[in-house]
Amino acid sequence: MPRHSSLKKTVTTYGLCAACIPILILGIAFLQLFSRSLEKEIFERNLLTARTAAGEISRYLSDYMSLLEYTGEQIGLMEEYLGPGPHEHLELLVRRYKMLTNVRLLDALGVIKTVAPYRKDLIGLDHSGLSFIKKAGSSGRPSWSAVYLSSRSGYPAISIAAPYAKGILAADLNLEELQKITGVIKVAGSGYAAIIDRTGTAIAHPDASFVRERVNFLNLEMIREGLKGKEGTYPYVFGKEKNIGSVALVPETGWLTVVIQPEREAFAAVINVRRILIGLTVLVCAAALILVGFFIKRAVAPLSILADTTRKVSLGNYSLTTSPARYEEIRQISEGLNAMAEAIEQRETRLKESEAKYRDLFENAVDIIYTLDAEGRFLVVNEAVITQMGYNREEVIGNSIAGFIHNDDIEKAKEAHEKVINGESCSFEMRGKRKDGIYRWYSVINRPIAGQDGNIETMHCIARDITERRTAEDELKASEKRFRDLFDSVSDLVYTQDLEGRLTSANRAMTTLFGYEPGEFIGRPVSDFMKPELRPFFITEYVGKIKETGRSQGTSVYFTKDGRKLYVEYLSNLVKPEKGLPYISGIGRDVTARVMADRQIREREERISAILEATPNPIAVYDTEGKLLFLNRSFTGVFGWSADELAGKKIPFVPEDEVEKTMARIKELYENSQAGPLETRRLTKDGRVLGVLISASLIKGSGGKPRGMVVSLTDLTERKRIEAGLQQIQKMEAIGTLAGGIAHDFNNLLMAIQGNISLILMDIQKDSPFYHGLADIEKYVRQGAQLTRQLLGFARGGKYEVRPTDIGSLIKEHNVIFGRARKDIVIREDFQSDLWPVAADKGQLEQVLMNLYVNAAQAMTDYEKGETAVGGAIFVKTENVSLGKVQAESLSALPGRYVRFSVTDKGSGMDKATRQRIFEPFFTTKEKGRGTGLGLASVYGIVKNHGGFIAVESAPGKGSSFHIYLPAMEKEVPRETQRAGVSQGSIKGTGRLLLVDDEDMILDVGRTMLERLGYEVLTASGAMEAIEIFNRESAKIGLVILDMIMPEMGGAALFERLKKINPAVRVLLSSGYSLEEQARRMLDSGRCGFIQKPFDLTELGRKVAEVLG
Amino acid sequence: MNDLAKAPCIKYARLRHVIRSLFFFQIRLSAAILVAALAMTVSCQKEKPVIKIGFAGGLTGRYSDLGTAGRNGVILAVEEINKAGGINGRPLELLIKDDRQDPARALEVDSELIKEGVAAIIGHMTSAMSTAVMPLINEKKTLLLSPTTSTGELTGKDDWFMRVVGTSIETPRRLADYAFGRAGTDRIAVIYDLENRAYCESYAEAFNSRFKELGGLLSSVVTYSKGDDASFEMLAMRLVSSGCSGVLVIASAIDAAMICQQIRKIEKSLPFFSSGWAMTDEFIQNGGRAVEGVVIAEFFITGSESEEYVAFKESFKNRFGAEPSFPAGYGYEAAMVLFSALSREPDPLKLKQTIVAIKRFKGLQGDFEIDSFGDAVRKLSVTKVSDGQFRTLE
Repeated sequence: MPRHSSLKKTVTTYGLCAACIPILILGIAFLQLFSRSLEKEIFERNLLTARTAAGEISRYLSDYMSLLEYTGEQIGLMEEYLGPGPHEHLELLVRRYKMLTNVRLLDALGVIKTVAPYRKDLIGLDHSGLSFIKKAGSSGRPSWSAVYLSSRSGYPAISIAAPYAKGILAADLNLEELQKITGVIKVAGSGYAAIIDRTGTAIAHPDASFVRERVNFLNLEMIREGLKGKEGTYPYVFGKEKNIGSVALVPETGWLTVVIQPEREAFAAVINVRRILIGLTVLVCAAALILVGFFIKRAVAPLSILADTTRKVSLGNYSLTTSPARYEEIRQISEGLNAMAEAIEQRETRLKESEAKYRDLFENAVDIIYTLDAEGRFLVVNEAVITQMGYNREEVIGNSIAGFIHNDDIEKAKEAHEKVINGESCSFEMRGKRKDGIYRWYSVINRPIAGQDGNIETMHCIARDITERRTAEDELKASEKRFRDLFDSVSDLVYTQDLEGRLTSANRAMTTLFGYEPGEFIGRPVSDFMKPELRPFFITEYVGKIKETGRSQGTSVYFTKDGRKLYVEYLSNLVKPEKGLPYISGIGRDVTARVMADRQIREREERISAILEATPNPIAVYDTEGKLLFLNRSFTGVFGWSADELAGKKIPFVPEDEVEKTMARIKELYENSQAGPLETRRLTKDGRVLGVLISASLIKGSGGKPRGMVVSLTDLTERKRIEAGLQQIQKMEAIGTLAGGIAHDFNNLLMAIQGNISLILMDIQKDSPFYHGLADIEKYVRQGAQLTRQLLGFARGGKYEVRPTDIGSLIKEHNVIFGRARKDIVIREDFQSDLWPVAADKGQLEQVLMNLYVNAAQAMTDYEKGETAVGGAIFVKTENVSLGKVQAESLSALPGRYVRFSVTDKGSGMDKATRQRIFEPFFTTKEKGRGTGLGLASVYGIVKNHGGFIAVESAPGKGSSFHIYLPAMEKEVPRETQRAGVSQGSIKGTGRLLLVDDEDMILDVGRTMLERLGYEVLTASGAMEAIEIFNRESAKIGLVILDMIMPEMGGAALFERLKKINPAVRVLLSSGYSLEEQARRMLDSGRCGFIQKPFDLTELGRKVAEVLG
Repeated sequence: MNDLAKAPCIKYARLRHVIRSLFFFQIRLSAAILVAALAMTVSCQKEKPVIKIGFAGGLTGRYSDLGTAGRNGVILAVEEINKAGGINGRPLELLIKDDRQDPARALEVDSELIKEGVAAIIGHMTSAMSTAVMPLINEKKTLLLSPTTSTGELTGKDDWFMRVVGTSIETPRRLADYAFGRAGTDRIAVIYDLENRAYCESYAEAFNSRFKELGGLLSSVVTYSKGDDASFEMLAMRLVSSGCSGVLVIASAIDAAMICQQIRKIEKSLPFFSSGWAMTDEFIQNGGRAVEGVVIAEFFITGSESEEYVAFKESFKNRFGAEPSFPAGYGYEAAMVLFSALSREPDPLKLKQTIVAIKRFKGLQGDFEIDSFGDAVRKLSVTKVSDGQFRTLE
């Protein structure tokens, strides 16, 4: 029995709750509002303090940085105008500003030039490895180091670096001052301020040991958040104390100023209010407790008296005495008890009356009614046992029922008995023996009757004589079996359904087909065997239609027990029997095999149709008379006709002059069942003529008889365009190679002329009659050399000096020069800032610009017949472009990042024919004598050589735009460092040189020139000879002058062989070609120089002296 | 039943309903209070006593970089284990003391820690301090587990000292092999810091003994200490003028960098060798181009890419805002060794034998063993400064 708590406790509990809860709720609400507003105010106040401190520190640091930058500027000026000597300046700085413990001047490489206070040992030390020096050097802006503890002072310190004109000025700043700054910040109570560096380490703190021991506070959320830039006030626990901390960022260094205050101090007012509230609650509780005790004493006593009274009623004593009640509720309970006793008494009387009525019904019932005990013995029987079975009560009562049952039904009766004993009701039929020995059929219903403990002790049973009904049923069953056998012998599916669609019968063919046992099948709606989503239609479409029209016919999909899909063709009719409910009767047939075959045919057709639609080639299908049966989407796309327009017609797309050829090929196809592809032309709907490649195939019917043909056409327009482009590129490549060869030979010739003239000019006086003529020849040779250089540019003979280049600055410089030369032309610039760097040769790019500008100026002059157009403006634009795959493809380039510069004029422009040829060498539209035809050719060569490409936009009268695309580099452009200049000293020298060249004229002139310069010269006309001489005289030969291009063995290979003989060999390479990759590698290996043919005496002298060192 | 009788019946039923609902509410309330009280009791029962461990190292002064980094490594390990529920449910409390690189102070702080009842002390960070406190440690039978003390003076002794770093005998021997065999130097000038004499002398001696075995010679041995106000320029002069073909610098990172810089001013191509003490980023930053090519033999590789080290580096950076240096790694490993032992045996007096029994430990850069004398046996690597990075050679 569950334990009940006493009313006394309950009343006490609720009394206390009623008294305290309102006070608590009100108090908490007040406390919340009060705390929040106070918290907000304190949070903001502390954050403001932290921000003020951050501002203070920021000013402090900025002052020192500005001081350093200013000093840097002054030193820069001093060094420029007064020469070196900034040391005194630095000493002054250290003396004046005590917090600067060390100031040092570093050169551009990060090496200490001078230091204050002066320490000789520090001069020359390399500080380039320090990250803050690196940062200042690379960014050109001041930078701060991480905070460290000074080994001298033990205080935190920071180093600062400010770049100046010739290096970096660096200083160590003692941060002792920070401790003072935080010290003066006023925070209420025991609160304080501190400073934290970027790593979360304390650099100023009232507890100086935190700073000295480099305690890290990154484990505090407020520090992590603050360092992320989220300034604010955060509560946190340190040790066991709750605190609030406000953090603000020092922008220069990323440090944090932190203002800390213990929560107990910050929220002292809130805590006091909380205490008062708790006290109040305790008082109220005590008062409530006293009141409740008083109430309980008066209210609970009468309840005990009432409890005694109820016990008496339960014992059958209904005469009650009620006590006077002090409270209304108790009085009501007392009255209620009186009423209850009265009611129980009345109910007992009525029960007795009721029992008598039911006994009469029992005894006079037509059916046999009896009660059995748990062992099946009769306890009670009614009168019908005597009247119907002939027994008297004494013969039955106390005997087992088994003695009255037919032997064949004993088992059935036992099962029923077991069921009832287990608490279930049951009914069954059995044969019972009458006293005269005759068995009769009885329908028996047994019902369990449970005792007080819940166990079945007895059962009530009713038996009805059904002998006549049973006889009639047996006859009916025999008749039904006959019909059933007939039903099951039919091979089609035969079934009946009720009007809900549930199967009421199905023949064997049907159960076999579906794989169910008849028991599993009957009673289920046929929709159970359909797809779930189709089931609703079964009722609406199938059953509904039968109800409406009396029949339904069609094919449905079902699933067998093992999941196989079935297609069943059926015919169902509504049957309205004379007796009973209407039902559905029908027959069906499995048509799965037929349906699957139909479907395969349909899918194949759809597949073929999809292929035809997906193919990019136009496809058409004709019947044997040439009339169109089908055409695909691509056909419409290319030729313009839709299938509807041409259905059943011939396609009018064969040009007159192609008809004969086409018909011949069709005939061949029909006769031989095959025909090769045909390249021909076809008309489009809008009258354009397309070049196409046609292939065709016969469509054959049964017996191999042709039914028509299918034709696939390939549009050749795009392919032809690409082929043409390729041819153009190949042509340019071939011309390039040829031009390179010519230039090389020509340079050798020019070399011989130049050399000889140099020599003659040295020998004759300026007043000689030949002097001016010879000087002119030298000038023309130089012009000739310029021409070959242009040719070489086109021939892509190699880049000269490739280095990261800022195209923007290059163009700006070039514009100034061009502007000086052509004052009639205005150059309008539209430059993108932060242009990506490109790997380029500055000289070659200048050549590109010059040629484009000259061309543009010329085009404008021609156009206006002497007057330049649009104020004679050339528009130059630079920009970064990233070419995606598609865009790059359209420009026949690779995708990627490019720097594009465009040169646009508003001059005469070009027609298509001119546009196609402008990059060919010697192609010119200028009048004779005004153009060499090499300008744009060399532009083309140079740009290709740089891995770039050119796009040209032009139309007659609309001007031209040349867009040059150069691949962008990933790296930044480093500042160009000043290269050591070539010695301007004497060009004469001494020593033995070996001159190697396969051209005799070069050998002759070279030898003379070198001898004139004071050298002793050995010559070799080929590599083998050179090796032989070098083998013999390597110790004496100071320098080998090598031609790069020679038969048998080139300069590079020869150089390797010479190195094997003497690894210290010094070589000057000379070539009619420009500097190639191979030569560049040789140059990089050291002890090597390069001279471009043709060269004069002075140039040769300098180069030789330079390589000899 | 007549109406007169029915009315009090209904009223009675209502009252009963009210009393029943109040009764059940009270049961619910009582149950809630009971559950809360029970939970509190359980949680009180669960709160096991803390395990105190100590850390002692030089947090201020000359070698505070070693001390603070080692401390940070230990802090990280303790925070991680406490986050994971402590050792067998017992949280750890770390007591940190600064020995100020002063032997007297070191004795003082160790006594304080022992009085506080620490299970073991992780420290000290320099050999000088560790050797100074050993008499006290042995007397009090408290385990001193050092992250970085590598002096040979404490090698092979059955005492209360244990360490996770290898001894300063193996590293100099390996360096000598490299200097003589690979670098082809046969005359080496040695310079070291007297402030950490226990480490430096033991290192220099081991180097010398192996170098001599190989046929090499120490051309000069130069020492310095903070008190001397030594000028590194002068020291460099002395080293170079000894006619050496290489210099071995046994000094802290910044000192070693300065010495290399000064030598480079005089001699451009003299090969440098240094000890693991200098193997921090500060060495490279302060040394600049002068320290390019410096060879160091060390157990701990700053640029290791082992999975455990990369994870440690990440956690360390998140916690302390900077990359860990080798003392931090050793500090972390020392704490991990101590935790493994404590998780098996909470009795401080049995910690040493537990560590010896476990023998093999998973380190940040591979497994290492601690032998019965408490000395660690680790894999050695030779690294070289190249392009401003420590790169492993062998």
